[in-house]
Amino acid sequence: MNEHKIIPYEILYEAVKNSEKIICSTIPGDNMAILKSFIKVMRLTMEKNIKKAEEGLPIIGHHFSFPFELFFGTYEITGVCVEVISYLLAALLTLGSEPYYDIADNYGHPYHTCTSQKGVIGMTLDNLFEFDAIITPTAPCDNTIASYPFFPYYNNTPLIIGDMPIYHDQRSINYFAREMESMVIELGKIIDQEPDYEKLRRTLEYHNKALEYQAEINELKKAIPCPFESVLCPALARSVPILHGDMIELFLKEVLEIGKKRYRSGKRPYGEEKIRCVWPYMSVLFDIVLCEWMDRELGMSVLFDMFSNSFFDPIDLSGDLEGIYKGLAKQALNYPMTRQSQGMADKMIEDSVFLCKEYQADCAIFTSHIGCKQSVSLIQILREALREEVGIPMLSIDLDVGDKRFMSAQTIRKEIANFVKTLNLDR
Amino acid sequence: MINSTKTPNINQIDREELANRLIKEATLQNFGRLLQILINTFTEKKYLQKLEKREGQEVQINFPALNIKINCLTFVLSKTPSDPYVRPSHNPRVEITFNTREDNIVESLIDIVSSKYTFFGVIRLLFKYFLTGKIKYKPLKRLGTTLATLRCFLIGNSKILKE
Repeated sequence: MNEHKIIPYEILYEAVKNSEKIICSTIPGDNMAILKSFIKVMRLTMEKNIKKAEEGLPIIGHHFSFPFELFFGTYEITGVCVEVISYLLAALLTLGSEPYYDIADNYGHPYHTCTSQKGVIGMTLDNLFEFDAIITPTAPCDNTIASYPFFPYYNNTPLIIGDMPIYHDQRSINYFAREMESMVIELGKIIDQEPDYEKLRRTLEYHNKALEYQAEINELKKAIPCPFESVLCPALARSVPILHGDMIELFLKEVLEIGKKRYRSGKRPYGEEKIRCVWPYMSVLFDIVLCEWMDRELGMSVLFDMFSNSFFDPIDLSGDLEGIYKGLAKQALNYPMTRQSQGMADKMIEDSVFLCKEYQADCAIFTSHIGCKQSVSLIQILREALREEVGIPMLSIDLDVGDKRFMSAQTIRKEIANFVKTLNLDR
Repeated sequence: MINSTKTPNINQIDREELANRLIKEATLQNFGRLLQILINTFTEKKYLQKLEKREGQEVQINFPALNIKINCLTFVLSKTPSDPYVRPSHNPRVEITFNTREDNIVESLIDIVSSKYTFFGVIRLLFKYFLTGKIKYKPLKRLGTTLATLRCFLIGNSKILKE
């Protein structure tokens, strides 16, 4: 019997299912190919997860900036990524997660915290989620650290926290590997399951394969014109935390095929590429067609945002369990946003300069998200670094990436369009 | 670790009803967002420009089969389209009602959106939906607004798609 423990997830599944039907049936050929693939794999994943929830498997909420493969692979659980729920609803529904942001605000949660967690906080206050446990690292931001304790405070949901060190050196990797191991053991006790490390190895085989595809996709992005639609960036932001095992492998494989096919024909998806752009921070996640607009109207290819900036080493599965934990810990410390926002600011600047240089960007656009106070002090430093080291300008837009009421999609378009007019594009 | 002592749930029947209602409400919002995405991306600029003289007029689309309290989307006609409102219009220029069964709404939307805005395309829709009563619009005298709205929804022969 379906106990409806994850109602927002069911809502999202219906929205994804209808979106797949309508978009795939009405948009022919190569148009929106990556979006179509993303929606299809999302639907498949959600179908599996809803079935698992109906079977009574434990519902585990988790943070996005974290290799959840570890838990998904070790136990039989239903994973619900807190941040993806809020932002995928924001993309697919006209009201998005806004009613739930308001519920959280009215409860007393500070209005200026990140909407990514505030959505699920509101849904929990509205009695729509019943988590058996929640897992998060103490990264990448103050919002995470301050918002996740809401769950045990409100309804005693067990919260498993992995203490993530500020420095990201070998000592930190060893420390966080031990943290991960203790998190796995703690989760096993809560849900009364024994860890299945053979299942974990099988899951990580898919994970490694997906990383190979990701590396090839990153290489293909160097091509001029870029063979991928800009929507790949926000799609990766939502898919990496929610798709695990064979699903993430399937998605990246399809994306790579799309890219290879276009690269061979030397064609960009939509006309001439006039501008190559890197978004050092997040994509706008409430407006699914902003990327289409940039691709088609401006001829702008978004090569990377923070969430698609993943250059991971595969995990060595030939060795012992300790090696696997260390491999996952190294990845966790370099996860998008954790890598750039949790520790010192130099990583963020180095990464942005590297991406803009290596991928021949003409400009950068920084989304100054209201929740991410830690990034705001960085904007001017980053702007100067990009101007001095790469010779490109950077636009900064104040917005909330998951709430269109803060700055509307139309105003964002106007800002970008005005910025583009100022660019000197003599390539 | 904090031991789980969950707050009591609302009873199961209520939860089932709640889930169904919320899913239907979200489905309506999802239709609105998807139509807005398709119009924004694939409707030809010349058709949107023609909405300038109807700027601000509201077109209400009803989906009674969803069987929820607010079962309509209100589109505000504009050359720069934005998300429809999930509420009845205070002063609808035209009201379009989908009288199809709930499980046929998506198929009907797909059929309409992927139709071509040509003489034969419109005639086909007229015979298939309007004359059979599957879709109704009122008042009947406002055919112009209905066609102007319909023109933005039909992307079957959009040049943007072909390019």
